[in-house]
Amino acid sequence: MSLDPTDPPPLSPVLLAGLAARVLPPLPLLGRPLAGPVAARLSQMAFDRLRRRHEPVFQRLAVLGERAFLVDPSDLPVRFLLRPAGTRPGLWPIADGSTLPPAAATLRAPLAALLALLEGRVDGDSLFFSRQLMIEGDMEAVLILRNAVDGADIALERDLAARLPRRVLTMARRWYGDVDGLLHLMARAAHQPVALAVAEVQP
Amino acid sequence: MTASPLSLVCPAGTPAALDAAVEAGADAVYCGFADATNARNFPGLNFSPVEMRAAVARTHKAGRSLYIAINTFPRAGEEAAWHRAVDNAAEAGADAVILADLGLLAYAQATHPSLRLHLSVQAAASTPEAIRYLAQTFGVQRVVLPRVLTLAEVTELTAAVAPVETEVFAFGGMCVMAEGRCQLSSYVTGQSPNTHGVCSPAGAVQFRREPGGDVTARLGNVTIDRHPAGAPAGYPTLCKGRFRANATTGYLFEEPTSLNAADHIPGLIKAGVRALKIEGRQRGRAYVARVVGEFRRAIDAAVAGGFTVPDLASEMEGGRATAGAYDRRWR
Amino acid sequence: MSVERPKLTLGPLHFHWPAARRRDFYARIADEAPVDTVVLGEVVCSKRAPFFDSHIPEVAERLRRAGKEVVLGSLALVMQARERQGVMDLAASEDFLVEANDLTAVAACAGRPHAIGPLVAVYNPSTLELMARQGATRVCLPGELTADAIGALAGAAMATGTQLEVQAFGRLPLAISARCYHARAHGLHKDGCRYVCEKHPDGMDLDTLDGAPFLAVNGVQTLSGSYLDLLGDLHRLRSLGVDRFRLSPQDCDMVAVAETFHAVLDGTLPVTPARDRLRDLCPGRRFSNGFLRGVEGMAYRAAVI
Repeated sequence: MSLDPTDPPPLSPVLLAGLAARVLPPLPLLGRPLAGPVAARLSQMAFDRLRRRHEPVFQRLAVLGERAFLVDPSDLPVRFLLRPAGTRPGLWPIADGSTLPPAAATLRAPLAALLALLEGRVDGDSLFFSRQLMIEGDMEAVLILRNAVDGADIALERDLAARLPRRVLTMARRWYGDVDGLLHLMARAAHQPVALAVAEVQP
Repeated sequence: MTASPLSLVCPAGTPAALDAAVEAGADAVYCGFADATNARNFPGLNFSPVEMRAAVARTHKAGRSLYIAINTFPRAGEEAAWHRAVDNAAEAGADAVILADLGLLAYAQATHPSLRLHLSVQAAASTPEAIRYLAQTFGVQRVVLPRVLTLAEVTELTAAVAPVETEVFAFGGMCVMAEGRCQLSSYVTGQSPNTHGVCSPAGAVQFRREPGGDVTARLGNVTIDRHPAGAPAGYPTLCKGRFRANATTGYLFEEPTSLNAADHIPGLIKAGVRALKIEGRQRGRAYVARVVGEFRRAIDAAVAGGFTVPDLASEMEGGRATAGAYDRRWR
Repeated sequence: MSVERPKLTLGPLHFHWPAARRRDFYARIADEAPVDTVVLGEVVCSKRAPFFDSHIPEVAERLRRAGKEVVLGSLALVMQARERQGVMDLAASEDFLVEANDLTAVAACAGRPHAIGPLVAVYNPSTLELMARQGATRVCLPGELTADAIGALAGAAMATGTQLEVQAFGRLPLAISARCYHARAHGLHKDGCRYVCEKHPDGMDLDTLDGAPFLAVNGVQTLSGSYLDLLGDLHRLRSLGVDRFRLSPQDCDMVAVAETFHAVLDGTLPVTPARDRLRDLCPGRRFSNGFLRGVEGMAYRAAVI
């Protein structure tokens, strides 16, 4: 599989699952809350970049306090714990089979839909009406998150595609190959039409 | 801007949605302040006074209008918050305020005599007599009609109340009960849509996945729906829930559905209706861009004599549309 | 607070009872019920009005002979030409005080003495004062108001000499629609409804999917499943400045219900036995008072001392 970031293939859940599987350890370690250290590092880095670029959004999210979300891309073997505010804000990947940390709410949708939602390219209520987005738990927290994110101008390609620090890259390359390319690829792939990707995972 | 006979009035719950509405061809955008003074008081939504001033400036720069909805009923003893909202709207340079409470209309008229007043649908003025009275008493210049009228009734009413303008809902979420007069949500949650600005407040909504895979929706302590995990959904409002009565189980008030009156655009132009309103300040900017764009094209086409009905099923509750009361059979 | 004895109003009958039953009901109210005022007239559905309109003069006359004040209530949701005309005719009435239940009637009654019903949005002192300036002499407040709001409104009522009324018994009117849910639940259209609402003289029970009783459907109107019971709050509301209490007719012994409220207001019956009596009079019914306490309307909470 080519990882040339200049020529991303159309977003495919299968491809993304494959990518995620490469980033994550080959076998989830039962009982460990977080997936592999590089995945964790990448997630946190993406989160930190978004936080720097979109300060007003995170100011709006301060009202969430310690409330965290379990973000569950239904087509990936990984979930994420997202805590936008509070004493320890961040984004942590959690491999399937791991113990789930407590979260105020769960958001479950195909990855493409979640990314489109993050970028405001699709309306959350529309996803909900068609059951592509499943929500459980604290609805107020979900609405705060959704409305703040929708009001922001998040563009993953622009916001994430800066070069990664050399130290991380060196470590990651040794273990997993071209991580920077992976991040670029995922960012670019997120821009494929969401309807196409969603259609692929529908039964 | 061309003088379209039908002004397209579009929702914005965030500055980003406002920009999307202007970009997509809205003639006017309506917004609210981030508190109980408006009927879409959802967490994380709406504008601070500072954001509102910037929104007015951007909208005016694009040659469009901005209306501010202050369309809840001031709570006794807390009227100052609603008065402040009217003052802030006037100060921000809003082209109109959309009000429902008669006492607040009196305040706005007395305090800001040059501020244009629109009557919110929440005021429930459904007849020429009521509308003429409000126009004479408060100087109301436009009235948003309740979603209970047939196209024939809208036509007759519009002629009868001129020069007061009429504005009607064209698309989006639809109250099946007379607006501004419904206490169902507060009966269950203790928060009144009329005075807190929110129907089915998020804090009272729960979705639970049952062991069998079904999803149960609860509002407060009341089960309002249960359906297979993949079935199309609507908002968790009481009027679109499933209940039992007369030995049947089902959507006894209304199925999850959204209003789409696009079919009626030529008829509404002919009726002399001044403005078409899109519901959905709680929706994302993708919804605003898509729906506003489609309605812009539909109106322009209808004005030019041709006409096609946009397909907006994916934006609708339950993925389903109704022409509501415009079509008499709905009643 | 006025020193006058608080008054009891029998609100409009929301349900579609046969004309003969209505006549008998009001005859007994005239002869036996300790209420001061009776609101007559069809407020829910204009299609029902022809069944009883012709009897109203006779029933009103009988109630007046028994010393009751008669008020005529207007339709809650007015849309069609014939309904508008009905409101205009009602508002022109020289013989009766009219209770306005929508803005059409508010407009039609402006400039002359009238009452404002609980279906008109009076939520704050400014609106109440405005109504008073337009001629309202009496305002029955919406059911969802809290005690704090009622207290604030009572100040404005006293300042303007307006009588303040609060519903104290019966199902709460929660919503009104252009659609008929009674007809819908029977697979019928509103235009051809066959008056199926007559089948349920106390409203059609609407239960949740779990089988819990919840609401009551009455044609185009939706009512609370529970009966409001403010017996334990009468004295407190009285001290806040409420002048009148409204009893909404249900399919039970309304004379005995009125006697119970009257006795508590008079101080001849303590609240606790009065409450027991009310429950005996309405077997199988649930009671609520949550709105007054600022919580969900369907809740029943003990009175705040």
